[in-house]
Amino acid sequence: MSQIVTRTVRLLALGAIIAAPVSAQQPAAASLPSAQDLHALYVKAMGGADVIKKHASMHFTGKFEVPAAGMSGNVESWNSDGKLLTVIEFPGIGQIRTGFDGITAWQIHPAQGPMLLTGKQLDQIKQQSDLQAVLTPDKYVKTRETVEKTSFGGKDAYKVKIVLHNGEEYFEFYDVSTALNIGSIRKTETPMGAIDATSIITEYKTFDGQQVPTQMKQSAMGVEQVVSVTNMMFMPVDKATFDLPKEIKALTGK
Amino acid sequence: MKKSKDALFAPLAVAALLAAAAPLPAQTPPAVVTFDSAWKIINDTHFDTTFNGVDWRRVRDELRPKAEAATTNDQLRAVLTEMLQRLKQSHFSIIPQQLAEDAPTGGAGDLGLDVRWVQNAIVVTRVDAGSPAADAGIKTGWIIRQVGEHTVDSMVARARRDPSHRSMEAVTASIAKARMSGAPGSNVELKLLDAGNRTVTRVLTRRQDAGTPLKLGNLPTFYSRFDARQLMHEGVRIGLISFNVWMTPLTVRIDSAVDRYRTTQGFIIDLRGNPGGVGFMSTGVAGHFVDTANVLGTMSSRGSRLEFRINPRRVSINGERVVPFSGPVAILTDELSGSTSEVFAGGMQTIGRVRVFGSRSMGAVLPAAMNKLPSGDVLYHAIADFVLPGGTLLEGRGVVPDEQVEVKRADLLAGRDPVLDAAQRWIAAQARAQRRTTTTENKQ
Repeated sequence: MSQIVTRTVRLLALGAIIAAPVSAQQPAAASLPSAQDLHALYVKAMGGADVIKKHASMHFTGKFEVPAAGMSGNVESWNSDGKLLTVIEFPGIGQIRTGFDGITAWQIHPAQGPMLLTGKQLDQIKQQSDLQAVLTPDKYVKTRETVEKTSFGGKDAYKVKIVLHNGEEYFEFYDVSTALNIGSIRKTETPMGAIDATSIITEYKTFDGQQVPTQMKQSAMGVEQVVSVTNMMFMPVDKATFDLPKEIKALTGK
Repeated sequence: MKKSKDALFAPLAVAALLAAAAPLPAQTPPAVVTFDSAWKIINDTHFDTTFNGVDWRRVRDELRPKAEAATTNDQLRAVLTEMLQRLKQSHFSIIPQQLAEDAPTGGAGDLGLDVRWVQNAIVVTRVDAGSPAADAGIKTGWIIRQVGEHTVDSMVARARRDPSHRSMEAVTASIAKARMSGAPGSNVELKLLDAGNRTVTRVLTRRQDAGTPLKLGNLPTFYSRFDARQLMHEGVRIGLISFNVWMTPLTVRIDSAVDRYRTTQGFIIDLRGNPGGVGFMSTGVAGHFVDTANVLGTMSSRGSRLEFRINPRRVSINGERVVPFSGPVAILTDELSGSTSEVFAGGMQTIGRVRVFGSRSMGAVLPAAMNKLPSGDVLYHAIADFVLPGGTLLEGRGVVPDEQVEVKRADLLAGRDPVLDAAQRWIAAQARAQRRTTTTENKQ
């Protein structure tokens, strides 16, 4: 479920990471827990598979900040049935809308205009839109392996190497004491190309029995961004929320 | 006048002149803490690990004692600025806290005129109707000899000491513009030479800047100006779009103007005096004139590389499917066109989509970020370089126009704009050539 917050960061130009689920296909190094075991512990720490299964849709509001630049905006996101809409409002920049209706991924950016997201961007947004992805890891992950015990974000963590079916490789970090995902190091896709980004989840809170990351810091190109969730509800979302905007319909010819 | 202060945003130049010599407030950390912080940020994020050939550790060792001795904000800013100048690159400056956090208290007033260095003098190049300058009878082509107590000779002398690669002419014009800015309602005396070269003195009261105030994070407030209209030249209709800063609230107006003049036979984008702004905005504007996948250039930081990919704009502001404008496009630049203006002009020129008219641009093209310092001031610092398709670095070089057009004082006195005229002539010629081609094809 960490993708709820991380997804939001990635949607901005500087991008971020997404916490892809892990699966067990590689043996762990000696004395390290296997990635499969870490995944099982992670699901349990989030509240368990039954809790996650019942949360098929959600809505959250929060803040998006670039502290060093003195920039702060509001973020709102809806997610249901593998569909996604995120709206970020930044004073001085405007409204950035990103969506996925199950087929078409798109973004309307005040600086760049409306655009369709294709290729690796489409792959990533598909994955991010899947609220149940953590329960079906093999759908996205080809292999993963626990590579070391290390320190990450000031905590003892297990570092797991992930390889996706599309060939992408990155690292996730799991808190040794809580088993929760506390971040990742990953190239993330943006309309301008891939960016190296380090994301650290600094806070989790429980909503309807499920642990949800509520604050994440991401560093990319020397710039730190912070996303904070202020309100989170697992609730039905009107299907019309995910309808393509007229600008995107015009681009797709639909 | 430091190059970095007006490399991206002209108001930063004003900020330097307004910096008060206030003592460091008691609650702020020691000056050396701020110095160390600024040094480390650049040490950790500068895109060039050779620091443009500068021994960055030696710079710290040399200047740190000066920071330790600083007892006022002004002294500290001077030390920090000296450190940044050692890099000899654009987009490194200190934004005073008062400008970063608040609406500007001193620089939001102007006289309603613009100036450039023309034929060895600071010459008025624009007078806004109804402005203090217009009310005082000042005309384009008049020469400014003194602003308040500052003679143009003193501005030239200061410009010659500027450590940047920018020309003396460009820096002097920037200084003169900054000297004419000030608090709305305040007076400034100008000494000028009129059209007959007679010395005249005018006392003007600064008005509130007529532009629309725009604030983005810790950057100072910018006053945006936008103009779009249709020109008619030799029977050819041309859409003209001009704006003075690349800030995203202007995109709606740009998009609307492109839609409005989509049926004209050419576009002119006037970026003279536009010092830059939000870099990626260039890719959205470029997409109005490019219908294929292409890039304006590439920025590279430590570990990351981003392309300025053009987003072809195939939908109108009303959500209707359109084709990006395919007719001739001219871009106008001058020595005060910087940063994003250079990304746009240089990129579009390199891919062969536009013809650039005017004079060589600023050569200040480094993507930058901001960090708040312990003192409360903001460090504005480059985090990446930028190269055009093909590998040409624009920093220090600028965009060289396809058609360099010299502006003479006589033109300005006569109310002519030779750069705009040249662009119109070219578009008209393109339109005539297109008509001939179409006629020939129809006959065949």
